[in-house]
Amino acid sequence: MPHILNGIRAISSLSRQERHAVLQELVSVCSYQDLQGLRRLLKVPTDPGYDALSSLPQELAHRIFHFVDAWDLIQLLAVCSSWRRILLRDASLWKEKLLEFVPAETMVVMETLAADYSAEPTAALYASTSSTGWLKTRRMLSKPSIRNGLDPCTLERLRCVARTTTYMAARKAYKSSLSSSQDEALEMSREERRVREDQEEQERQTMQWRGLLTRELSAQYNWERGQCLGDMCIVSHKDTKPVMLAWPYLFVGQGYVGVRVIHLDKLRRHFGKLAKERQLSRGPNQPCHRGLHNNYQGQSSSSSSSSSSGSSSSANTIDIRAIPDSVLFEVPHFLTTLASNQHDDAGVDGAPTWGYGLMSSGVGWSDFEGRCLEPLFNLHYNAIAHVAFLKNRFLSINLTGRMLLTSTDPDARRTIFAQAQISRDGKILQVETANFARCERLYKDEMVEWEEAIFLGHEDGILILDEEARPIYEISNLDNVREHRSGGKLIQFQVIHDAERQEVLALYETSTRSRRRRVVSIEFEEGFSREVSRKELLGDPHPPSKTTYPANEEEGEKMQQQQQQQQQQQQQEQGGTMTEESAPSSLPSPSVSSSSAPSSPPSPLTAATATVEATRHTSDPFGYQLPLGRGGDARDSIVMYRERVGLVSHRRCSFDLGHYCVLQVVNVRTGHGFTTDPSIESKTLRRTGVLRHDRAQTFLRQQYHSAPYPHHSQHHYRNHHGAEGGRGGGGGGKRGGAAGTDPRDMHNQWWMLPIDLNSDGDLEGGDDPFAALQSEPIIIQGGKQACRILAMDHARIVLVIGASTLRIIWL
Amino acid sequence: MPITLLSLDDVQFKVDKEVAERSILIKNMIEDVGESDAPIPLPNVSSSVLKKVIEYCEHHRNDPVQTQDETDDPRKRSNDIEEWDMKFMMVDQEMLFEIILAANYLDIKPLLDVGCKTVANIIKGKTPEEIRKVFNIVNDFTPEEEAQIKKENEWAEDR
Repeated sequence: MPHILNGIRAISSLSRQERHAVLQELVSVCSYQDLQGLRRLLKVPTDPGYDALSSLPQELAHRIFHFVDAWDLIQLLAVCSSWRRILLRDASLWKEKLLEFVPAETMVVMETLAADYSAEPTAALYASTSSTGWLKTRRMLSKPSIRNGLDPCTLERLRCVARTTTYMAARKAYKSSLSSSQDEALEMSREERRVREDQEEQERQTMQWRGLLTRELSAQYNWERGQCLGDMCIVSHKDTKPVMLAWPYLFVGQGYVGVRVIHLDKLRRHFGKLAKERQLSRGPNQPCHRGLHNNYQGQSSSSSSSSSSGSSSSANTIDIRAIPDSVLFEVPHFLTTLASNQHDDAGVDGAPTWGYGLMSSGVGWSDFEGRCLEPLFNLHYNAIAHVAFLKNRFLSINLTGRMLLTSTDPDARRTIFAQAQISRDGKILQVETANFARCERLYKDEMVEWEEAIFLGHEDGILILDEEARPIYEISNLDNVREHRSGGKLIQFQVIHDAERQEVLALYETSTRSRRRRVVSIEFEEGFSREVSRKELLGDPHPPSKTTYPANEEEGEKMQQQQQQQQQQQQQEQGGTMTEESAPSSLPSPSVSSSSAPSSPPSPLTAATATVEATRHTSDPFGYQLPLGRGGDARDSIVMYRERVGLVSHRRCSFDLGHYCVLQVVNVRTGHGFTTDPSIESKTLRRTGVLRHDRAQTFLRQQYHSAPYPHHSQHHYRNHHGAEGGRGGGGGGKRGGAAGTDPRDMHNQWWMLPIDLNSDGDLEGGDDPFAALQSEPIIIQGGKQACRILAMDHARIVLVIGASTLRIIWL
Repeated sequence: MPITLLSLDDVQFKVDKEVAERSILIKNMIEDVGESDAPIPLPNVSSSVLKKVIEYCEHHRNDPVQTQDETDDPRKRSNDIEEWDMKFMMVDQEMLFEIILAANYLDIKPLLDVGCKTVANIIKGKTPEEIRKVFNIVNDFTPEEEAQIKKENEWAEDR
């Protein structure tokens, strides 16, 4: 260093030409950053095209981007080519964002869904294999000695890898042949080629992850805003039996015909295509709907015109037999639920096998394409009530409570294990399973190992068994979070088992007269052998219970912490008034919130969580959001998907139209959701914290009541769609001009009104009452028919209307 | 015992050992070489930046040392910057990036994180056009690329 400086100091003694040469040399060895520094020394304004971020070392740029949230990350792709390059070269960044988003869904995604987004379906399954791995794989496969030593399954996987990347190499070669510098490409050293291939692979992966992230984000966004991308009817002409959603497949039981498996993504694409064709035939004046996701959106609204003329002719209605790529299994007398889980072992062609159970008198399975369907066989000599999946076995339970394990491997079949002490009367409401790494525990003075847990829900609680039917744990007294109470009737439960959480969410009905529904979250240690904490996620205001444990590292917890500070004060102010107010008059069942709310101060240890709990419990959303329907009610239907609870309840209409259905969906963890109940009073909403609802409500009333009475709703929608393509954007204007609807249609239309249980403040949209209500109404055809909610995941809701119409709502 | 740091442009800074050791690089250096009076040369950091970095280290001298686990927390959030740090980071963009580079070189994880979070916060909630303006970036996409990107982002336009 000093001698260089000395040398430079000598520059003054040089001639002008020599000096110039030295400076030139100096500048040529400088990095871009050095030059930038030089500019600063010279006080020259910085180069307008200079972009500090992309000149950072890549790892630092990535570090910055890791702090950017997913929405913004997608925006950043559009900034400039160098940013785009940086972002696309880091698949892990996108993957991380996605994982942070929906841990469990993405596990499915990684295995199956990514395929949908790529040009090379198999590539996605082996996304982790880089091209170096590919070279090794090919070399390995070229040697018979190695090849013969592999088991067929692994071999097939390896072949897939080899095939996949061969394609990529081919594509690359094709690309370089297109560019004029073919010779250069040939001269490119091996190393460079490898680096380039790696980059390409990264970019390809990134685009996949990005696509998935986009989809998740839009689903969440719509969830929070009560917005849907579209909805669609499937008419089956046969009684529709219970349906199951196993992303991306939908199973529909069709009476005596059999079971149909529908690939939802393909269905959606099909609809997109149909919508496009219709647009073309309509001519250019028709609005163009943006993007693939929205393609069929217009169809839903135009369908309103045909609501009277019968559902089959409606544009967003499709006959179940006309659905492309759907598979019909001819399983007559299909009885109840289907179950599905992912299998570890690979089946034919190395493709992952999916299984499902069909219930009539037996159990069968297949992959989703309909290959290798095992025939049903009767092992039970009694009607089967439930089917669930363990790692590669079926668990079936018959009506007497007898459990049977059936292996997919013919040699290991008929592994019957002891009829366990399942429940008092053998009546099982629901069966779930979970697989995890091998655990050990003490059982009857012996160390036993297990890796599969079976959850049997009965009326009084949930029994957890291992795969040998040895009890692991029993959840009872569901309502014991609350003081002076015990019991509670289980309605439904959901096992959440992933890398971060071992948890059971249970929806139950309080055992007292109130008939209120609550959700309790029970956290477990890995292996479900010990309860860590139990807390109520939705319920009456009440002080935090003793069973609350110090904060764990849960994601939701962190968010709550932040809210807590803002809300704490408000809570304290409101605390007094909250409890005095009893349930609103619109609530059919009598309220027993006679809580004197003893304010026992939480111990310092639990103070943090206690306040978090308090903020959650100041409202009783179930009192308003998930009330039982009139009369009780057998027609109510509930589903749970992870922390989402969906409910369709039936109400009696104020004017003489009989009952109507209300769909209510809420994420119990975040408090976001939506309802289609137009009868909720805004006063009530304010008290319960369902505030966004408020103005939307006012708007709805205006819509319904200010309307000239006999007016065709069809006109309204034509109008609306002719004026502006798609939803969103100046919503206020377009709705303001819209003509009203026939009040008798009121309950035929579902406006998804957003709910935010956390929000205590004002609407996000400020003074614009329409900001909260961006969604198109969903029109329920033949609105007097009973409606059931059958399946739900984070982006889809499946309803059955009447006996034979399926309705899928995409968020 | 104070330690002398020597910046790129030969400016000497005397700081407490405790302060200097916020930098893992310097800490390791001291451990390797042993304490001596000789100034530690930091050939990648200019005096103006080093001054800022030392200011940060002075303020955070008593912070507990972060464990590896914390820094590797996968759930990264940019909204948890302390107030002092936020003020500290109110500098022009070039300085901000210089600080990030220096923090990376000197291996001061918390400072690096604060720097990165600050940049992330600048990015947050902006449209691509706004970002270009803020970061002085020229839009260098070809019309075809532009169209492609627009197509990709169509769904997000409502937001």
